[in-house]
Amino acid sequence: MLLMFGAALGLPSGSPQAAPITFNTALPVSQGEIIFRELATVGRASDDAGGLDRKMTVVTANSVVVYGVTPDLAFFAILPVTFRVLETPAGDRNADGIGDARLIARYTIYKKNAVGKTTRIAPFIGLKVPTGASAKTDDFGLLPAPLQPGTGSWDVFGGVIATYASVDWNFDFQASYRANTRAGGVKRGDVARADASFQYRLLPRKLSRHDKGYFYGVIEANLVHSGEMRVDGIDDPNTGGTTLSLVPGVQYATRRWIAEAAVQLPVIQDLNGSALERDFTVLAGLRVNF
Amino acid sequence: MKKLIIGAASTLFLAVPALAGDIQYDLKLDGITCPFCVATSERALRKIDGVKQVSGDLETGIIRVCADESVKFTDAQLTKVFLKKGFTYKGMEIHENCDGFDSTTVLSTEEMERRAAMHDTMGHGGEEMDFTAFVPADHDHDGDGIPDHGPEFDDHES
Repeated sequence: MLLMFGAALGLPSGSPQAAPITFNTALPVSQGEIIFRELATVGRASDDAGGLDRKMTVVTANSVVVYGVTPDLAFFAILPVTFRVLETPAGDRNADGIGDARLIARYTIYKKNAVGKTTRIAPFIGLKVPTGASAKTDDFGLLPAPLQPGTGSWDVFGGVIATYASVDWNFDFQASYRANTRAGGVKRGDVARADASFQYRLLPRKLSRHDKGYFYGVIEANLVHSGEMRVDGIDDPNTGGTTLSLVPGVQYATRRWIAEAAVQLPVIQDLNGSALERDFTVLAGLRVNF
Repeated sequence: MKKLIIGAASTLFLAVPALAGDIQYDLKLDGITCPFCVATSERALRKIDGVKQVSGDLETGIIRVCADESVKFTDAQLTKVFLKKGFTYKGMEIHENCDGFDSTTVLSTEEMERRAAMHDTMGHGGEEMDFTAFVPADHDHDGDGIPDHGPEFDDHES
């Protein structure tokens, strides 16, 4: 079966400062503040263990709005718009449209501020809403589940984020779990993941009051384990597995916005059966504070 | 030459003057780690009536505020302002004028003349800054500007 590109990315961070690119941070969102983030991703998978010469490309634009209810409580809303194409010797199959929205509440339970540094721990809980179409068809019939923009299921997820941030570098860690439910005869496997991110200020080396912006180097790791999909009560042995990815990237942070780019490279893919292996995912985004 | 004079006059007219009688507050904050943290703090302070200029220093965690005499910051007020931002207010240092903005401030003609006169009478490169004690809020419970038990900051959130 095909790879789940959706599982490769976690929760887009809404922080307006150097922060993880592929998952969230525990850094604060000020009370009453709104942050907007747009993260575009292009993913490619072509290593077909099944020998069917399949190639899949997924292009997604994730729009994220963050609102600080209090200094400790922040709400995140994420809406993806996606285009997916599967190339096979028999012909191409594709779908596009709005994907499943995600709503997240994050609450800071521990914070320790000091001069030029802060340490925070924030659990979060979220709901995936089936806003995306999950029964699209083409000339060949019903599209396979990984090609559908949405899943059709209401799924809950949660986890915890720990962040240490200083003037020179930041470190973030997140552990999370998503319990997927059944919809339309399909029950996707649950997803457990652990993520880590290290961001280091490369330029300027020495701080000045007149600095216009800071340039950061970023390296992240994503460990994702997906369970097998069940279709009409039967496990699909060609779905699920474990992937470890490294994500080198860069960020340019100003007082009002952040531009960022990264590439997610799978270094270990222990996938079940003939699941299609991912080649890379390119990410580029912008965060703006209002 | 005419353009130069007009340009200079416009600059002097439009610039926010740091006049004698203004007060400079150096606000000490914990938890500031990024340019955005400084910017959001500056924006909050600029909304306060009487605040003329704000300038943040990421490395020291100090936000400098130049305000007129009508502004009377209190520790309780600043604690509340920065709590909403997710930062910890630790105390303030008060100066009798806004000389801390010299490097970035375009001064009024009157202020430049005043400083030139001061230079002549003092015989050195500038007037001496009137420095008051740097008293963190949590070390000055009686509010007299004198530390209750020493001026050191700790690194822990109060």
